[in-house]
Amino acid sequence: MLPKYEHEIRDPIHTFIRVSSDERRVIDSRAFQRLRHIHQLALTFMVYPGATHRRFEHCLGVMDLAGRIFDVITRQPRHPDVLQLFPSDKELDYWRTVVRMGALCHDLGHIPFSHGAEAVLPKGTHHEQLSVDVILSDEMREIWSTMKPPIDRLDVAKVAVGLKDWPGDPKDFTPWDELLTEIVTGNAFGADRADYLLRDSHHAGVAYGRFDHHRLVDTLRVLRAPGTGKPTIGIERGGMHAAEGLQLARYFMFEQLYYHRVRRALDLHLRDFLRAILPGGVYPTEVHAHLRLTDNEVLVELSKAADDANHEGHEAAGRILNRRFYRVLYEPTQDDLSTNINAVEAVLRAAETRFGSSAVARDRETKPSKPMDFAVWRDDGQIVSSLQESRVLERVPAATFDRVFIVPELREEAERWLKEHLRGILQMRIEEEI
Amino acid sequence: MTREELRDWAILGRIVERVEEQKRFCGETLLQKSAYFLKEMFDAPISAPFRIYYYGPFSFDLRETLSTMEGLDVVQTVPHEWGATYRVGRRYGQVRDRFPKTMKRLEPAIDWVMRELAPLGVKELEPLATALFLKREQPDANDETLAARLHTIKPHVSVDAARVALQKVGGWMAERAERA
Repeated sequence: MLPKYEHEIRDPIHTFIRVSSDERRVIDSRAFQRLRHIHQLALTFMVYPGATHRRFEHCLGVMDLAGRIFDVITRQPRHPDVLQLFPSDKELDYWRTVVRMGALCHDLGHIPFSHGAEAVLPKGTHHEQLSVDVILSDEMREIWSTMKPPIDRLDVAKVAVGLKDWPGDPKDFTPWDELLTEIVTGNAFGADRADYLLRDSHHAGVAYGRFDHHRLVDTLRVLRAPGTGKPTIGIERGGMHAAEGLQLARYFMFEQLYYHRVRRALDLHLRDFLRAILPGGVYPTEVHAHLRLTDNEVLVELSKAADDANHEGHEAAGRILNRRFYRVLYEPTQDDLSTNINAVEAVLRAAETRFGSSAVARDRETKPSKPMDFAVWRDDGQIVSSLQESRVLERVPAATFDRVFIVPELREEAERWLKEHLRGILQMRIEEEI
Repeated sequence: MTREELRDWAILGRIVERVEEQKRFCGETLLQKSAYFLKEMFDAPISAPFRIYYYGPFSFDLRETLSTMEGLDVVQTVPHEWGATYRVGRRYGQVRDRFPKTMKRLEPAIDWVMRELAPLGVKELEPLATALFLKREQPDANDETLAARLHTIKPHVSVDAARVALQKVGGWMAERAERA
């Protein structure tokens, strides 16, 4: 039997994901195999039972999509304004591997339960920093250096985390580097986002995450952004409906799934639990210590803690496993915010005074997910902003939330109290110059 | 929201309001570079940290702040051929009115922004903001050294154009020091 140089992995989203023998060595590494044990959506499976998928298959999907995007933007006719950006065809082969490997490794730094518990990382640290550390680690070095051709691990790390989260000097990023990283982590059309919407939608059974990604990928082009002139990934006009579909999918998925109130309440308890069991209450960021921890170890400890009243994580574990999680006490209406833009803070402080700070919690998303402004290559040759070209995009609202939670034991009492006092609380002007 | 967050909103909202009054395009680049000049040259209490990139000083935190402001209708964006242009939202007044002292103190600085920066395009704003960054980073270096460095960071800006930007920013800084 002839040796195989290309291997196929079956996937529910992309059907077959093909990898080379070199790429398979990265997949077989301890760091990547660990992702088989990190849930993609933290404890969302306690709300949507099907959402038990892992980071492992998501990263394979991102690699596959990133490779396809790379092929389209480098092989399709290039816009004359960006021709000088592209390296030679020979160099493009190298960069294609870099993009696929950056995409494959972009989540190596996720701690147990992914985003759900990220607050237990040391202040100022985020999982992208850990991804960089793992990619650059001695453990991975040999794989990069023996690939054919050898891959510069810094190139992989840059593509994996992008400019925003790059722990080194941001001046290291050339416009070409920025384009490559946009393929993976880009806000508008990044492979990471496209794969998680499709995959999370599939597993959670929430149909809203689907969009015509085949059409979208086929119409992606490197263009100069109108306004800034910066090279960026935009689309041909023919892909506009697919792009609108992606932005709508994103809005619905955030509202339906990612910001689900029970999932977010569970995140709060998970953080409390991890703080109780981790030495010093902080996640270890040293590479080997990080690679040893997965959801499995945490789930075993959760179970033990729930049964042991003397365990430091008993309270939080019981709230998760026995479904005694926080309930929503307050979410502001538009009218409330028009009366007091800091309404949630005012309610939180009043509730803490009335019920004690351990009974109350606040959870908010400070980075609303709003539709993106991207470049569109019109049929007449002009490049314009998507917001001008689409009548849909400007009407898609930003997905966001801000909530006050209360422990379920006090829920009814707290709701009665809030109903009686809300009007007065909203009149409180906190954080004001006098 | 903390006092610092709300104060950031008040300052950014005021820039947007003034640009809107001038009926100019108020894109993110203008807001980023204006906030950077206000923070570094006029000591405005803007909490977002800036880092130097290929395209000049930029703050991802500030981008997120603008996004949050938009989510709460403190600012709005409207379509424009160059991209989204900002204007003040329904709740901007509520934020501004909480910081009368800061607003009063910064008004001359915002006048300066309207006069010197608001009429400029992206290609002019980027080298100027980068020149200010370099002058703050290396206060003892001469303009020749800094022009070479600016060209290294931003190869698309010629050394001559870098010199012009540095001279202009040097003049602004001297003027500011004189008044202080």
